[in-house]
Amino acid sequence: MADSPRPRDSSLDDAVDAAATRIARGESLDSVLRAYPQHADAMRAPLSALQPVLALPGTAPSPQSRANAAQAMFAALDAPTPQRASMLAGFWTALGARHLRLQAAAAGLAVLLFGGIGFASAAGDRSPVPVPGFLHVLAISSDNVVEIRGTIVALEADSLTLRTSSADEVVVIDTTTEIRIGEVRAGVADLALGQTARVRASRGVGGTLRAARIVAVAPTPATLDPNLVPELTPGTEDRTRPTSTDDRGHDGENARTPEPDESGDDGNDGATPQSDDGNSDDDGPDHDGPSPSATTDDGGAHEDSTKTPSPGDDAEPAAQSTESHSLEPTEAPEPTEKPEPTQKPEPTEDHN
Amino acid sequence: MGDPAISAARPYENEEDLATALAARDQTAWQQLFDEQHERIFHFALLRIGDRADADDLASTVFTEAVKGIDSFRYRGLPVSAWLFRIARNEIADHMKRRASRPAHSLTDERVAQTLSARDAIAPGDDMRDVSHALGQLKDEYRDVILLRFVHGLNVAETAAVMDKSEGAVKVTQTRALQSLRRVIDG
Repeated sequence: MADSPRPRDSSLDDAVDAAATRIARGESLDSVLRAYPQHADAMRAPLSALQPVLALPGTAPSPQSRANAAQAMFAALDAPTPQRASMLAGFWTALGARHLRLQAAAAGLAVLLFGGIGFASAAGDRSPVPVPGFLHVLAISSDNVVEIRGTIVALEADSLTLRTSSADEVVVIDTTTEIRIGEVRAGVADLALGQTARVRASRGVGGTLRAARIVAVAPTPATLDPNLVPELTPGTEDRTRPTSTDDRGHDGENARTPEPDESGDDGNDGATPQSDDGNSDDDGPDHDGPSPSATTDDGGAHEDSTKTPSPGDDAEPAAQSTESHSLEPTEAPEPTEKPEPTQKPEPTEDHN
Repeated sequence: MGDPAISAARPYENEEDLATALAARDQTAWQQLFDEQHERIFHFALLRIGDRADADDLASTVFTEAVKGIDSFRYRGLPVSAWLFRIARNEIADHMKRRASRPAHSLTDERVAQTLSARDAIAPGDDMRDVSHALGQLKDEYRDVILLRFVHGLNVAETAAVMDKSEGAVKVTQTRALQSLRRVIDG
């Protein structure tokens, strides 16, 4: 007992550590325990577990795997140093970031100007004023989106022809196309010949215009072109009627009854309050771009359904009456006058 | 006057000099580090993951990762080997995550005891199997502290650095690990 130094710390953990170190150096368990009489009983069991661990044999890797590992290590050593690589990466990253920032700033400016001009012209029922060419390039190169305005002169289930001041533009309509009659969400069946429409579309590689959003204005006697009447075919005539949703060429989601946006949120493109949804999209996101259609509407509906119940539950009857009012074929104006001569849409080719 | 072969094999006697040379990407320093530590790292990996091929791969990865990360290494009085063990521990953790769908505790696998006994011509006695099996049943932290301290000979400070713990915490963990090991061995 006297031949072993007293532990400098009487705590069990320190004692176990010191004792284990001595055992690892070759001292016997009993001799070590004699040095820590106050912890001997507590230490005996854990220290006895140490002995088989210390007897674990070493294991060498195979010569081949060792050689392979050495080769890999020296290959890594010969590779460009991480410092140099990171310096190079940092340089390119910084350069790229600066470049991207400039691009983003320019594109953002172009979108603001382009969008602002379009919005202002829409508000004033005027065509977009010409935009400086370089801004066109930026705006169009970003997403190839154009906005055209004209009169619907032909209408099919999957396309319409818009007569602008310069040309007739055929625009493809699909299930993702958002269609509105004024402020009211509508379907393709609600479009009619002679309506003035503002179309936001993307131009594909082959020049095909694919409509993301169509905002039509119900024709008035002052805007209907009498020359359009002879072009009406029986099939297209039927499309002017608010028929069943089956004829609308949309999926179930888009075939819902168009309703007025009672929320007063004019910009809420996703607002399609339905009684079966149990909510409205008053709080939904404002989708200004190409409409994500059913997906977005559903998302908003599900999100809202977990939140506040909507007053839109009872909105359907009123909405239907609004729809029938706004889309009533009998309201079609008499084809007595030429279209408003002041409506001179700018050549949409500028936007392409 | 020493054996020239030995002195040639270990040109960096001082740990700080070795660390400096490693940071300078001195091939001799890296060769020395590899010669001295590769087997230890391999053994540590084998005892933790139980598969020789995986342990080979992991040991190799540790050294390539060390090369990649040497610029971030700062010598603070602890040997470079502690840093290697720390890399190894992280790599083992990643390895274990990747093969989480397989049996987690490789040391319960008889392959370890068989591998150990076959390579080292040690009879696969019951004690060896018992301790391998018992270590395999410990939680990772306990197994690590026992292996690092008593199989690979790291001191408390080095073990603390590897495990990212304080020295006091290592001692506490060590006591609990040994107590746990005893209980497992006793069944």
